[in-house]
Amino acid sequence: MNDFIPSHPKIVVIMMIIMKRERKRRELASHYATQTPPPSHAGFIPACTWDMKQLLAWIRGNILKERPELFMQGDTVRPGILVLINDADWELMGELEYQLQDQDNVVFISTLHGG
Amino acid sequence: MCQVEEDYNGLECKQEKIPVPTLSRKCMKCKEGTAVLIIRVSDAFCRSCFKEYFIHKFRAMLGKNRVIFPQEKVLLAVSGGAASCSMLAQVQEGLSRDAPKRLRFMPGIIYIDDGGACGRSSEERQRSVDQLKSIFTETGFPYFIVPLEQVFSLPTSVLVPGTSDPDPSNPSYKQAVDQYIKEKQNLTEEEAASAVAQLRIEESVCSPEHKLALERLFSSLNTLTAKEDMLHTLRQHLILHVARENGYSKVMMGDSCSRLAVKLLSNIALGRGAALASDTGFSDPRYGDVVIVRPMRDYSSKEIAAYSRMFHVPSVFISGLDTKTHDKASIQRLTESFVTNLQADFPSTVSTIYRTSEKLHTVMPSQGQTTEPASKCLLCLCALDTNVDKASAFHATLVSEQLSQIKLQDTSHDARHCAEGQGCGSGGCCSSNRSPEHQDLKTLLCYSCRLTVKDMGAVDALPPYIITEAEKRQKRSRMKMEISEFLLEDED
Repeated sequence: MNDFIPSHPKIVVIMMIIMKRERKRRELASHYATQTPPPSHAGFIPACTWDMKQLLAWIRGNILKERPELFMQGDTVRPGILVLINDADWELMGELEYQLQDQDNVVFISTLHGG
Repeated sequence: MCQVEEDYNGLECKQEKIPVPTLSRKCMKCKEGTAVLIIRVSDAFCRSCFKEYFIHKFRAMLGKNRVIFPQEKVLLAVSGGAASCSMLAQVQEGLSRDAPKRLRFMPGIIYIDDGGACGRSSEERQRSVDQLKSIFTETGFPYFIVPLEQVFSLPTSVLVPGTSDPDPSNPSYKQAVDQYIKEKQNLTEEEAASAVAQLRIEESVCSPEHKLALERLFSSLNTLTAKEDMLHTLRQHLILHVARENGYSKVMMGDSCSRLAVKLLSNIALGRGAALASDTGFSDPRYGDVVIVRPMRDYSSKEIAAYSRMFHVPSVFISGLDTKTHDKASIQRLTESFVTNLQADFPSTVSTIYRTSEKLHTVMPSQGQTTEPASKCLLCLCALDTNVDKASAFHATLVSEQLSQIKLQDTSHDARHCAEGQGCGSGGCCSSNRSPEHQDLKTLLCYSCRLTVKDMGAVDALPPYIITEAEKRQKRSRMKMEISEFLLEDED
C-alpha cells in the first residue's frame, strides 16, 4: 500500500467505510502526514483527479479482502448500499462521475439486512 | 481588482474544507437549502427539512393510528441496528418535547441477544451488549437485555394468546387523552423520577446447558431459511414474555418499509400468506394482551441510514445469521436482493409492495374472540390456516406428498388425523420413520411453521415450553376425540 503514497499530496480522501458485511465496522481514515509512516490499514489515494468510479475500483483492488460481490456489483456499489459524500447523497453529486476533492469524506452504509 | 481576486481565492480555500456539491440542487421543500438527500425520485431535501420531515413522520404515524394510549407502557424492541435505534431516538425526541406535543407513553427497551444462535463468541456478545448498555443507559429508560438462551426457561403460557383486557379499549382515545391531561396536573416530577429508579438490568444469565441446547436446536435445522424463521419465532416469544411479565401492553418494532416489503414477499414464499396482514401491518393483535406496533413502517431504509448518519444516532453492528452469506443462502436473503436490485432500477418497487401490504386484511374470525389456543398455531400464534376443505392447494400438496412416500404406517393413525380435519397424513407417512412427536406436533402448526419443523432433524431439540404445550394440546384434542360422541354439536 505504500506505493500509493502521493508524491505531490493534493488529495487526501478521508474515507470511512462502514461495511458491516466485513463483520466489523472498518474505519479507514487516512490523514495525510509526510512525516509519519501511514498506518497499515489506511487507504492512500494517488494524487490525481479521481472520480468515484476509480475510487471504487481502487477499493475493490486494495481494501476488500474477501467476497467483493457483497460490496460491488459491476463497477458500482451494490444496490442497498448508500453512499454519502460529505454527508450528502451521491445521487446529487453525479454518482460515479463525481470528481473527488481534497478532504472529501466518503461513507458507505449498508442498508441490507444482516450486514 | 487584484484585491477582489485575492479575496476570492482566499474564500475558495476556506470553502474547500466544506466542499460544495458539484451539482448543487435546492431543497424541494424550503427552496433555499442545498439538497443533501434524494428521498424519492425527484424529492431532494436539505438537511434541516429532512430532519423535520423525519421527526414529523414518526409522530404522524402514531397520531394517525391512535393505538398507544397516554401512560401506557410501551416496550421498544431494539436490535442495535439503524432502524430500531432511530426508533429509540425518535421516542426520546418525542418525550423531550414541551407538554402539548409530548409523547405520553412510558417506554422501556428490550434487546434480545441472539448471538448464541448466530455462532458468535461470548467476548463478541459481551462487547455488543456493553455498547448497547451505554446507549440504553443514556436514554434513562428502563431496559432489559435478554439472551436468547432464556427460551429454555420460558413458561408454556407464552404460547397461549392472552385475552385482551377490554378496559383500556373502552374509552375512546380522545377521552383517554383528556383524562390524562387532567391527571397530569396533579402529577409531579416525582413520578418521572420513580420511573427512572425502576431501571433494571437483566443480567445475561445463561447456563452452559442452555447454551448447548440452543446450539443443538439451531444445528438441527438444516436450512438457513428455517433457521431465520425459528430465530424470529423464538425472539418474538421472548419479547412477548418480557412484555407480559413487566406489564407492557404494546411492543414497538423497528421494521422499515423496505424491510416490510421484503418480509411480505418472503413470507408469501414461506407459505405464510394467511398471516400476512398481521405480519406486516401497523399493529399486530395476535397475542391478545400485547399488541405489536410498527411505527417505522413509513420510512425507507435509505432515509433511516441517512438520518442515523447525519444526526449521529448511535447504533451497534451485530452480525446476524445472514451476515456474509451469499444471495441465494435463504429465501429471505434472496427476496431481499431481488427487491433491492429491482428498486435500483425501478424506484417505486418498495412503495408498491408496501402499499399492497396496507390493504391486506385477514378473513379469519377476529383475533380477540377466538382465544381457544387449539385454533392457533403453536409457534407463531396465528390462526391455523390448515383447517381447509379438501379442494384446496394445501390438501393437494399433502396428497402428493403422501403418494410419493412409501406407506409404512397403519391407516388407523391417519384416519384419526383426517377426522380432525387438519393435515391428514401430514405426519402419518412422510415422517413415519422419525419420532412420533414429529407428526403430532405438525398438526398443531400452521402451514409455514410445518415447513420449518419439517426441516428439523430432531424435534426434541425444541425448547421445553413448546414441547410441553404441544403435549398438552394433543392430550386435549385426543380427549375431545374420545368424548366427541357425547358432546353436543356446535351449531354450524
